[in-house]
Amino acid sequence: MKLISTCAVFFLLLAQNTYAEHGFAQFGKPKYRADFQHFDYVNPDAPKGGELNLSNTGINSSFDKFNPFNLKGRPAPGLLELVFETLAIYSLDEPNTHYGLLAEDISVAPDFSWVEYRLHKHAQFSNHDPVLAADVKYSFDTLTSTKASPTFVAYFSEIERVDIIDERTVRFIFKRKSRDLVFIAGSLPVFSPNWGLTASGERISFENISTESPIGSGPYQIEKAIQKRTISYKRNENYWGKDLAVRRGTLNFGHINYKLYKDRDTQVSALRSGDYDVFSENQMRYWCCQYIGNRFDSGELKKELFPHKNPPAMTGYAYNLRKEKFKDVRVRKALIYAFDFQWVNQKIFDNYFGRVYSYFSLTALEAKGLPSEAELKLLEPYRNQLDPAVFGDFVKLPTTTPAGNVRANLIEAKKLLAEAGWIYRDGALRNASNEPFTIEVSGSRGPNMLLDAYYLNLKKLGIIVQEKTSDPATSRNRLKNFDYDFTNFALREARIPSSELWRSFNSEAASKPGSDNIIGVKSPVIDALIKKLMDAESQSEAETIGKALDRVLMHGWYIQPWRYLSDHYVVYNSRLHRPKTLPLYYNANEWMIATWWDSKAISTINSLAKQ
Amino acid sequence: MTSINTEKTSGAKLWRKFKHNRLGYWSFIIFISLYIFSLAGEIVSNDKPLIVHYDNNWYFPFLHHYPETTFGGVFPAYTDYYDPFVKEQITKGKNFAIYPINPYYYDTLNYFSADGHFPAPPSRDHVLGTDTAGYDLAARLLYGFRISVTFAFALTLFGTILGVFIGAIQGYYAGKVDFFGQRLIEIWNAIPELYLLIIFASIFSPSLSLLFVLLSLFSWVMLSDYVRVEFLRNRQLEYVKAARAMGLPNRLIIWRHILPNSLTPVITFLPFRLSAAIMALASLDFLGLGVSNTGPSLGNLMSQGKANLDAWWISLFTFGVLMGTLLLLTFIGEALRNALDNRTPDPIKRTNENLLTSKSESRELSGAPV
Repeated sequence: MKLISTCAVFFLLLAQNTYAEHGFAQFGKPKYRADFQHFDYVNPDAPKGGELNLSNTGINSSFDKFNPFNLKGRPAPGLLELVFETLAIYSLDEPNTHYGLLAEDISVAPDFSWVEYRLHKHAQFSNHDPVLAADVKYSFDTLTSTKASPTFVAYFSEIERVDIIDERTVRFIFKRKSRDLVFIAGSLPVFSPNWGLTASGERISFENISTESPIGSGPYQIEKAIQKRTISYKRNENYWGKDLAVRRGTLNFGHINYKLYKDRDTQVSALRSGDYDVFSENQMRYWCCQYIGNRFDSGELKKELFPHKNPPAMTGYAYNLRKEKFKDVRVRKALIYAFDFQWVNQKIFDNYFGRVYSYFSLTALEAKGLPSEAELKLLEPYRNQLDPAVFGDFVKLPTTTPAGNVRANLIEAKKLLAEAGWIYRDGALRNASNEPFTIEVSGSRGPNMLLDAYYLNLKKLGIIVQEKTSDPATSRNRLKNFDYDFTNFALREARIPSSELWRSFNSEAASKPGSDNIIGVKSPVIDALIKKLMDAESQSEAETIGKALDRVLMHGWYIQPWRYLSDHYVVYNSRLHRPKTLPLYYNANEWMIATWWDSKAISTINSLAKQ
Repeated sequence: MTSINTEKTSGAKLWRKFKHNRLGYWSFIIFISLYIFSLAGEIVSNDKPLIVHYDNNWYFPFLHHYPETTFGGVFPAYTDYYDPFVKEQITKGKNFAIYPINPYYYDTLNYFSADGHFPAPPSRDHVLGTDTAGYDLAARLLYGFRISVTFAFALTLFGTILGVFIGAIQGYYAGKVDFFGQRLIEIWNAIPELYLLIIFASIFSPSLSLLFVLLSLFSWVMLSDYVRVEFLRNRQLEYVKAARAMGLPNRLIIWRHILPNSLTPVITFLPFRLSAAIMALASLDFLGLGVSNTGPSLGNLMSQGKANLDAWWISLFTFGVLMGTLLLLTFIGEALRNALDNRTPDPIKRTNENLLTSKSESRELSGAPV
């Protein structure tokens, strides 16, 4: 009796507080309802078949294993996207919403301390075994163990453990109560424990699994691989999920081949000569001038811009706050004034780039003009710890449009430096204790296209720029110990900012060697605001906090902001077609692999039918 | 006394025979003039005006450093003579400035250039265009040529002296000295030069002097083999025996009698060693192991050209300079060889064959020293 009543209470509680849903949105409701047929940005009737030829898109120009999860060796390209599947996948037209893929439904704890996934009944691995809760737990435990690459361990570090609720239900328990951890759990790739089992029944330890054919649940299987040169994937005709709404109209190519090139210039030339089909270019040097020739004239290869709404991450160059000379905000501001972004953009990038102007550029979280009342209310408690400028207008970055303003900017920089006590005498800019102002930068063996103009401006101010060439290992080590003056810095691109901000700006990490707080920001205000942002309950709350945080960060002049692109620059073979509707937030390569199709596939099907 | 006389006359004869070969002779004249021209680079190609007349004072910016405040500016450290403001200051009213013909130094960033994006094609501003970072190609080629040739001269001189010295000692004393010397050279030769360079380039910050030391360590070996063989042959000849019988000290016999008669391979190889040294520097720069920083370097320009095939002017002009230099040196070398070769009555006809055979010989010899 007692048991029954507790059970009843338990179920009552469960019914009240959690809903098993087909998807989960960080804020608000998912755009697509439970009975949706397909995403808006796919063509549900796209023909299947044909082939897609890609070149290496990542850094790896060769591979020696089919295991993307362990540390040793270099994995083949495409494995994560094609062979393995995650519990849930993102829709590409909502800021942060994911829908069940391996999972049929998703239940989230009311206080966001856990998430539960119930797996599809039909989900099966390529060896026809069903995908069960135990496999999910096995995948999680493997990826967070020492057998997997530390990247995965770090990625899943905020998930405490995975519990098996029943045969097809798993629960992820979080260390921190947060909405964004749901997405981290949902992006867990699932693989079979039988992967690495030899014919004789022996088990190869996960860290040593390399060329053993992977057992995943994804739509493609490896067809042929030639080490260091090429890998081909073949679509699995019996793929379990081909009728799922999240998969309809996607992954249409019968074959996907990756060709590997060791050298970027060769890669570009190979595209010119038609060796592969698509390339998403991010170097404007190539885009502007190198995609020329017969295939472009005849229309076989096309160049097209695809606009996207991916929020640009804050990237740029940072000054080390641990060094005495950079502690004064006026000095940092002067150094940022000396940089002529418009010059670099025009002379080197042919004006293709925009400049990041906020920590949340182009999103609803970016601050504008004067702070609103809600923002002021947030900032008021910290008034005595903040620069009065924070309560005024938002930062306007120095610009040199119209051209020629650089002189005015440099004069402003000189003034700021003088205010901070740096005056030119005896051949250098010196402070009261007669130390010269030097900046050590990492040098290059050739001319440094991007920064030579900046160094010239610093020289005009009397700052001594010391270029130092060092090998990557040494540089990495020095950065780890925060022994640097000036370094490049990038935040991860995130549709909704969360833990990456905390990792890069929290005070505690500033004194921990190897942490992500490279700049060395130590501000209780920033700590508090980021924490609030991570705990935001709604989109509007997140926006207010984001704006306030943006003001504090930008007025700190920590980063010399750099560039972003608001389009994907794609070269593609005209044989390939795309859905009419573009997604909003997407990576060009993943989008092309997932939603494009081969128009030749139709004619082959037709001719087969005729025969 | 007699040997000095013969040397003089043979020197004059050599020059006469060399002059007789028009191609080689003119190549020599052109090469030397080009080098002298490049040595005067600061006057020809510089970003600082030669003379500035400002407020009734004369200034010589290419010799002296003046802060911008001299010309009514605000920055106390450095004057950018391309800044429109400075330009206006030094040219308005009675003021004037005389710029060099090519108004760029090899590390002049034409900040205020009207060009589109870099690398900019040849234009009135930049006769040969610019490289990827916006430096003037003509200036970089001029200074690149100068630095390459200077480096090659130094390397050749040092390598030759060392090679002759070691070869002479081995050849003259023969016996145990020769035997152990050869074994040591074999061991030395077995050290992989390129790896050593790569390792050192990552330990020390790469500089010309480091490259010079490292390349010098190995550049003498081949030559010492030839000198050794010549010495081994000559030491048995009558005039040497006579000198020894007369009690002349060894160093004098070597210096006065054998050396002048063993110099044929040394002189013949000089131009080829020069071109080899130029190529060595260029290839190391091409691989990114050479000169660092914004220093002018032909190899670095080559690699830029390779990466930017559409910027044809980079590859074309760099290739032109490099090929021109090497071609001139080869012609000089041919002429020198013919001038030194007493066996051939008709020098011009045999030239090409000689060049070919001697090259393959030299490779064999350096690969497997006797």
